[in-house]
Amino acid sequence: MFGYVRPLRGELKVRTLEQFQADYCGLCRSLGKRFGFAARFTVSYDLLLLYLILSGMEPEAQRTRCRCPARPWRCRACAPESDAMTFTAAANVIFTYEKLSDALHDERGFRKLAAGLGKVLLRGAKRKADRIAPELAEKTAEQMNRIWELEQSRDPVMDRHADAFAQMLCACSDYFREPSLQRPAKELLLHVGRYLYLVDALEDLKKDAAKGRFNPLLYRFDVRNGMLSPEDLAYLKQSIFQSLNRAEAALDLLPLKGSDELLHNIICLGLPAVLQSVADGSFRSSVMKMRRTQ
Amino acid sequence: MRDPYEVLGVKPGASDEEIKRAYRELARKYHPDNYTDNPLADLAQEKMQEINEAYDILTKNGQSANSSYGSTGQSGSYGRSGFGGSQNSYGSSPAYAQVRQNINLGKIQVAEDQLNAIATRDAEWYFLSGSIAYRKGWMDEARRNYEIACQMAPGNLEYHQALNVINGSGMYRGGNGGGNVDGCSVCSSLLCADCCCEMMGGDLIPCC
Repeated sequence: MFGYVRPLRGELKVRTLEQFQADYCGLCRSLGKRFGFAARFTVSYDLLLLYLILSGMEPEAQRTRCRCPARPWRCRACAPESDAMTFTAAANVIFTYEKLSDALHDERGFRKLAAGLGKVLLRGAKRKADRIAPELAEKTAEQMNRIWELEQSRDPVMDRHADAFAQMLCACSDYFREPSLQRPAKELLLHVGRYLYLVDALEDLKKDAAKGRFNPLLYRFDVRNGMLSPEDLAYLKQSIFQSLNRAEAALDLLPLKGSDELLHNIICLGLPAVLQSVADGSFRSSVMKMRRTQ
Repeated sequence: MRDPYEVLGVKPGASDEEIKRAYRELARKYHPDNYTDNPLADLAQEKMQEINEAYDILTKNGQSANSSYGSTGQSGSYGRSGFGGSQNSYGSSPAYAQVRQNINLGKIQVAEDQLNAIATRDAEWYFLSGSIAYRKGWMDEARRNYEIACQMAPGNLEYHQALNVINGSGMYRGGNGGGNVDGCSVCSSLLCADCCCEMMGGDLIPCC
């Protein structure tokens, strides 16, 4: 969806990086197997975090091998199918579908056309996903309406917009039945959601200000030429860091086994690094550089 | 009860030193200070209790029972101090007392509705509004409300403490780094301690 959730690779053990890649391939394969080939294109790092949380309490699963459709000559290690994987794949389809609906509503021209086409292609997958996670589908649609209403009313409370978005991710915590797991998972997803929303708003600020589109930061801060003043930027960064601290405190309360290292790396190192690079405007170019070196 | 070695994450037969180190690490992680006004404070407290019990069993009860920090009773009052505790000293109205009670019970939505029903917006109203926002994870709103409360009642320690907690929490802990102790701060703390000792007639560092 956004591509902000990623580990800080330099700090990972080779073994953990391999696990991360296997989980990514596993998610992609699960999307293809359960929801059809079109659904494979929706795979993202962001939802991989959800998989790591949902499967985190189980010991690391035995990997299988699979062929990657993007690079068919290579065989890759692949996390096996599991309940957590299926749920994550369903969530991925549901979120992507809603995002496309949002784009169809907001965008013009080519992007609008692409969003409409994507929606048509994903219709079958969405129906299957609704069957696997009916509560999540319902809550997501509900929150999307809330987000639209808040945007229409130009609500100046930045946290209200962020909360409406974060509640969509939060709904995934219902995967856990025991409150001792569900509550920390919910808190964790809530703060990651707030992080994602605000970082996205910060990255798009300049574009949105130029095109006259909605951006919550426009109504909270005094924005000039699509830029925040250095004080406001420092304040916003601090506020987002506070969310990450709360996310880390929640993460510490989950009895993690398999994905402990990876999750700590993402929350404590990866997300702060991404925030830093979005704030100083180097994020997109650093992503491009990373893709080339991979 | 779980295996105490498993709770502390050490191998059975680990040395006292290893057990102590593992215990310190965990106790720092789950210390009530890290969960001030956090909706998960009760879970952290349970965890702390479990760690303390495991440590006490492994270090043969008696002698070290006192050394485990934030032992059960204490940590209970910790997480909630500054909140329910101070409600009498500031003479809050019954309506506010009810809001505070609901916040402490974790009924955030009820507390929010009650608070919004109160028409007069004084310093305490903003403080409680900030506390509710903080629990919901609305960090920006929480800080704004705490700031207003502090401006309206500059002498109130409770409000300032809350603002300090939220400002402090923006300093990112950054993974396992923990307390940022550098050489300089250690030295200057020692020198301060030495000066204090000398003032009282003693001496901590004999050479200066």
